Amino acid sequence: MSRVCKRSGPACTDRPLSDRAVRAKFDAWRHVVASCLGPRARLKQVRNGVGGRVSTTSTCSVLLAAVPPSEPLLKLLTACVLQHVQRFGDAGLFAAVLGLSLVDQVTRRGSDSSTAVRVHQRLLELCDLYLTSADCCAKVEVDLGSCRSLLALAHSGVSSKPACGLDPAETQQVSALLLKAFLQTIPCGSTDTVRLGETVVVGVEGEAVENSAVFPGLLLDVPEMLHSGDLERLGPGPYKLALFSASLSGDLSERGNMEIHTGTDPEAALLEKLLKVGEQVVRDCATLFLCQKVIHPVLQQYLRERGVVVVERLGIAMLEQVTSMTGAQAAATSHTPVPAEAFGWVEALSIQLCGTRKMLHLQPTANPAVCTLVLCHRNESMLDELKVTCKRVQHVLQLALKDPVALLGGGCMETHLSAYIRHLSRRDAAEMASDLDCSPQEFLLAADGFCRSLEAAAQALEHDGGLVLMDLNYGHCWVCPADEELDTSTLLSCSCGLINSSAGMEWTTLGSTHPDFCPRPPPGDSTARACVLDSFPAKRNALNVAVEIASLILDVKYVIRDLN
Amino acid sequence: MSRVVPSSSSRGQHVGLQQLAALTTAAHAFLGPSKRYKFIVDDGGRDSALVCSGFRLLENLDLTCSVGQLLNEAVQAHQRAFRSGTGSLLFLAGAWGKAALECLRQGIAVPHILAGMSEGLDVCLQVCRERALSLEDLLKAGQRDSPQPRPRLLSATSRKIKLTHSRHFGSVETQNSALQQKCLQDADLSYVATLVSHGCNDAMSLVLEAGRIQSAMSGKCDTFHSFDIDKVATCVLPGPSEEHSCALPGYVVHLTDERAFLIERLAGRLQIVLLNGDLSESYRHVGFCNPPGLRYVSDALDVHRVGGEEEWMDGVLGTLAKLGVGVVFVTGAACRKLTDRCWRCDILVVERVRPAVLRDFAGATGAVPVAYASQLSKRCVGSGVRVRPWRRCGASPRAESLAVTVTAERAALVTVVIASPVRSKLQALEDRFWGCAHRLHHALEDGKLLPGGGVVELQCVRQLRERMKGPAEQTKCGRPKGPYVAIVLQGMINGLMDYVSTVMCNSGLFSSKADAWAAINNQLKETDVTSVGAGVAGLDLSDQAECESAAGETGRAYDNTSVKVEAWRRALDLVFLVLQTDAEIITGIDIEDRKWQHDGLMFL
Repeated sequence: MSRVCKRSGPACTDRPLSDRAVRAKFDAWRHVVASCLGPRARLKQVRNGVGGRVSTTSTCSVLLAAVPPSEPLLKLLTACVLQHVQRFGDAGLFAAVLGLSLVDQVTRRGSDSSTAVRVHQRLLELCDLYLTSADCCAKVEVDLGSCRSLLALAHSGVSSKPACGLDPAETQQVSALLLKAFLQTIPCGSTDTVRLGETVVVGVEGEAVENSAVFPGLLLDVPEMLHSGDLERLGPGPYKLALFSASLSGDLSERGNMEIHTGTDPEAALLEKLLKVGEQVVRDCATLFLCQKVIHPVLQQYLRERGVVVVERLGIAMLEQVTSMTGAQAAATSHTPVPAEAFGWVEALSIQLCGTRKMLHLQPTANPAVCTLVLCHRNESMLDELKVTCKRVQHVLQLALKDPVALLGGGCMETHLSAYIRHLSRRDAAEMASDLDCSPQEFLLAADGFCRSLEAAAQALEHDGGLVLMDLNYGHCWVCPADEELDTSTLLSCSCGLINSSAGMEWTTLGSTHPDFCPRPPPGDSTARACVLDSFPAKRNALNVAVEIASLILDVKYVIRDLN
Repeated sequence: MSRVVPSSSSRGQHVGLQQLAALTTAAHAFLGPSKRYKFIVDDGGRDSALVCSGFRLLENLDLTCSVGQLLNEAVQAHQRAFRSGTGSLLFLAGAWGKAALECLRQGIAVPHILAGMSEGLDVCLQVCRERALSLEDLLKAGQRDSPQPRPRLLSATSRKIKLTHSRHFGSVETQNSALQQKCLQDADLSYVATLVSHGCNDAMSLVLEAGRIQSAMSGKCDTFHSFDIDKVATCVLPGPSEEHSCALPGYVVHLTDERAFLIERLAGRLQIVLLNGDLSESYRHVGFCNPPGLRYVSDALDVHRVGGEEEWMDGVLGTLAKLGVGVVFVTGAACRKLTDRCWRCDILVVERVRPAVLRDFAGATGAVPVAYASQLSKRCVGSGVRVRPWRRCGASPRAESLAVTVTAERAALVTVVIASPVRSKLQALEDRFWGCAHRLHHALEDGKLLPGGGVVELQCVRQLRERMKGPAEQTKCGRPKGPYVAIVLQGMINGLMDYVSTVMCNSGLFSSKADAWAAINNQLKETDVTSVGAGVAGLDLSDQAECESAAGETGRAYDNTSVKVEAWRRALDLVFLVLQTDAEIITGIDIEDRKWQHDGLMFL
C-alpha cells in the first residue's frame, strides 16, 4: 500500500527586494565579495560544516564555487559571474561588486526599478561606446613587440591575490615565468589556422618559490620502476609513442549482470589479449607506452623487459595535452591493434628534479606550443591559490593576444568612466530623459546611482580605512593611507601609475559631490606608464554582465519556491 | 546554507590570531632539550595519547576551527620535509601572531604590519646567513678545544678502541694511517653529531651506530658523508629496557610463533622475490574492478571440486620452489595458509614490508618487484640474502618470539631497533630518533650550522633593534618611515625574546620566564657596549661564549640552518594568512541545527 503525502503549496515572495531578510543577504554578499577585491584584499577561509579542508582565498572562481548562496536571486548572480569567469578568466569580483552595488543603489533610494533599469541599459551603451572608441582614455595599447605591457598585465594579475603569499621579488619572478610560459605556447610556424598551445601547471609543495620554472613540453610523474639508466639505454631520439585512453587493467569493463561458466577464466583471456597489444606495440618499435588509466602489472612487466618506458594513470587532462603535443591518437580499445597513424613522437626523454619531485620530461619534436609551468611554494594553501592565479593570468594574456588593449587598473578605469558618464548624463540629461520616457530628475538620480556603483567598485579596493580620492583633471583614482594626514602634496601618482601629481591638480574624495568636469586625456609625455593593467575584454564583459544581471534582479517581481 | 563568521572586527580584535596564539601555547613545553610529556585524553576518557612534540600534539587534537586546521597543515608539511623544527615553528607562529594582534590593537593598518614583519624577517634571515658556521670551521674549533678524544658519545669511542686492536688490521703503518684517517673522520662525524644532538644523546648514538654500520657495509672510507638517511629503517620493540635499543645491519623481522626455532633451516645465501601488494588469491592490482553483477555458473554438480584457492596456492608454491626462493617480501598482507605451507618448504614470507625497504632490497639483490606471484620468473629473483637470528623476545613466556635480521650483501639498509618497556613511549622515542637522524643529515647536507640555544635569536634581536634605530633611508617608496615600523619590529623582538626565555626556563636555567627575560636583557645591553663589531660573518665564537656564559653551562648546541630558516618563514606565512583573513565561511550547514543558532551571524 502506498502512502499518500499531502503536497504543500509553493511559497511566493512578492517584491523580494523589499524583504528585509533578502536585503540582509544581499548586503552580506556585497560585503564578502567587496572585501576580496584587490591586492590588499581580506581573505576568506572556506570550509564545509563537517570540517573539510580549509581553503584560504580571495579568488572569485574559488569563492563563488565553494559558497552556494541560499537566496535564489543571489544564485542567479553567482551563476552568471562564474560563467563570465569561465569565459574570460578575470574580473569576476568586479562584476559581482558592481552588480550588487547597482541593486543596492536602486533599492536604497526606493526609486522606480523599471526606470532605473532603462537608464542603466542606456548608460551601459554609452560606456561600451566610449570604451571601444579610439579616443577612450581609460585604456592603453598593449605593444606585442615588447614584453613590457604584457609583463605589467601579468604582474597586476599575480599581485592582486594576496593569498598567494608572494613577496615583491617573488611576484616579479612568477610574472616573468608566466610570460615566458605564455610565449612558449604561441606556435611559431605560420600555418593558416593558428591555435594557441597550453600551459600545464604542476604544483610542488614545500619548496621555495624561486625554484619554480618553465619547461618546454610536458612533465609526467616518474613511474616508480623507472631508473635514469633505463633512459640512457634508449639511445638518441625521437621516440615513438603509443597512447591509450582505454583502461588496460584487464578487468571486465562491461556493465550489468553477467554469467560465466566455471570452466573459463575471463581474466586470463583478457590478459592474453592485453599481451597481444603489448606484442604489437613492441613490434612497431614504440619506446613509450602511456595510458590514461591503469595498466595491468603483467603487461607493464612485459613492456619494461623489452625496454619500453611505461607510464600509467595519466588522467584525462594530461591525455589531451599528450595528444596535442605528440600527435598521437589515444586508442579507446585494446581489442584492435594500434593503427600506424595513431603513434605519436617525442624528441627527447629525461628525468627532471623539481624540488623533491622527480618528473619525466617529454620534449616535443617540432612546433612545441605546449609547456609546463612548475610552481613551488612553501605552504599548501598558498600554492593552491597561486595555481588558480596563474591559470587566470594565462587566460588574460591569451585574450590580450586577440585584442591587444588593456584597461587601467587600480580603480582608475572605474573612476574615470564614472566621471565621464556623470559628465555626459549631466550635459544631455533632458534629451536622454525624454528618450527614456522619464523626468530629468529621475534620470539624474538613476545615473547618479550608476556612477556611484562604479565608484564603489574603485572604493572596494581599499580595505584599511585609507581615503580614496579622485582628481578633477583626469578622473583617476588616488589613495591616501589611513595613518597619514590628508595632505595632497604627499600624493605621488595615481593608483594605476599613469598620472604623476603636478601643481594645480585638484582632488575630491570619492563619492562626494564635486563640480562637473570632463576627464581629460593623460598628459602626452611618454615617461609615465601605467604599471597596473587589467584585461580589456574581461572587464568590458564584466561590466555588461553586471548591468544585465542587476537589471534582471531588479525586474523580478515574484520568487516562487516549490517547498516539496 | 552558508554561514560567515567574522574573524576580525574594528578595534584590535582578531579571532583568528587569538586562536593561533591559544593553540600554540600548548606547545611551549616542547621547546629546549628537556622536553616534558603531555597526556591527551578525550572527553569519554577512553582514548589517550602520550605526546612529546608539537606535530604529534596537533595530530592528536580535534581541531574544529579553520585556523587550527591551517596550523596543523603547515606543521605537518614542515615535519614531512624536515622531521625537526616544528617546535620553533609553532612557538613563533604564536608569538608573532600575538605581535600582529598587538599592532592591530594599536591601530596599525594591515599592510603596514605585513610590510614591517617582512622587513623584520629579512633582517633575521640575514643574521642566519651571516652567523652560519661551516662544518670545517666547527671541526677546527672543536680540535682546538679538546685534543683528547671527545667525551659524551661513549659508544663511539668504545667502538673505536675495539677497532684499533682488531686483528683484521694486523700489519703495520700503511694500514694504521688509513685507520687513523678513518677514525678521525669517524670522530668528526661523532663531533658533528654531538653538536646537533640537542640533549638526545641516546638517540644520537643510535644514529651514529647506524652510520657506522652503513659505512662498514659499503666498504667506503669517506665516512664524512656516509650517513645515508634513506637507508635507515626503524623497528619498535616493546618489552626490553631502553638500553637494548641498537642498530643492526639489514631488515629486522619478528617471527612470532613456533617457527622461531626452525630458523636454522634458513642457513646460507638465499634467493629473494619481492611482491607489491597482497599475496592472496583474491588480490587484484589497484584499479582493477570486475562488474558487481558477475556470477559464475556451472552445468555440472561438482561438490568435490578443489577450491580455487588451493589450486592457486599449489601454483604459487610450485613457482617458488622452481625458482629456489628462500625469502618472500610482501608489501601488503599474505594469505595465512600459504605462509604456513611456505614455511614447511623452508620459505620465509615477510608481510607488510615498507615500500622503501622493498626498493632497497630490489637495488641490492637485483630482484624485480612484481604484483602477482604468477609473474615471477628467473629475471625477478634476487640473490645473496641471509637470514640470521638476532634475539629472543616476548612480552610473556607463552608469546615467545624471535627477531631475525634479513641482510643482503650489497644493501646499506640499517634497522634501528627502539626498545622500551613502556609501550606508549615508543612513538616518542622513535620520533626522537628520527629527529636526531635528520638533524645530522641536514647538517651534512647544508655543510653549516647555526649556534643554537638562543644565540642566533638574540643576534636577531640585536639587529632588529639596530634597524629600529636606523635611518629612514631604507624605505622603498621614498616616504619617511612611519612610526609603525618600530612598533611592528618591537613585536617581533618580543616574540624572539619570549622564545629564548622559554628555552632557558624549560632547560632549568631560570626558575621563571621573567628572570630569564631580565638576564637576557642585561646581557644584550652589555654586549651592545662591548662588542661593537659583533655580528660580522665568520667564526665569532667569543661572542657566542659570552651568550653562553649568560645561559650557564648548557654545552654547545647547534641548529640546522635550512630547518630554522624554513620554520621561521613558514611561521610568518601562517601569521600573514590569518592576519589577512577577515571571515571564516562555513558551507553546507543546516540552518535548523541548534549548533548554529547564535545571534549576530551572517547567513548567505
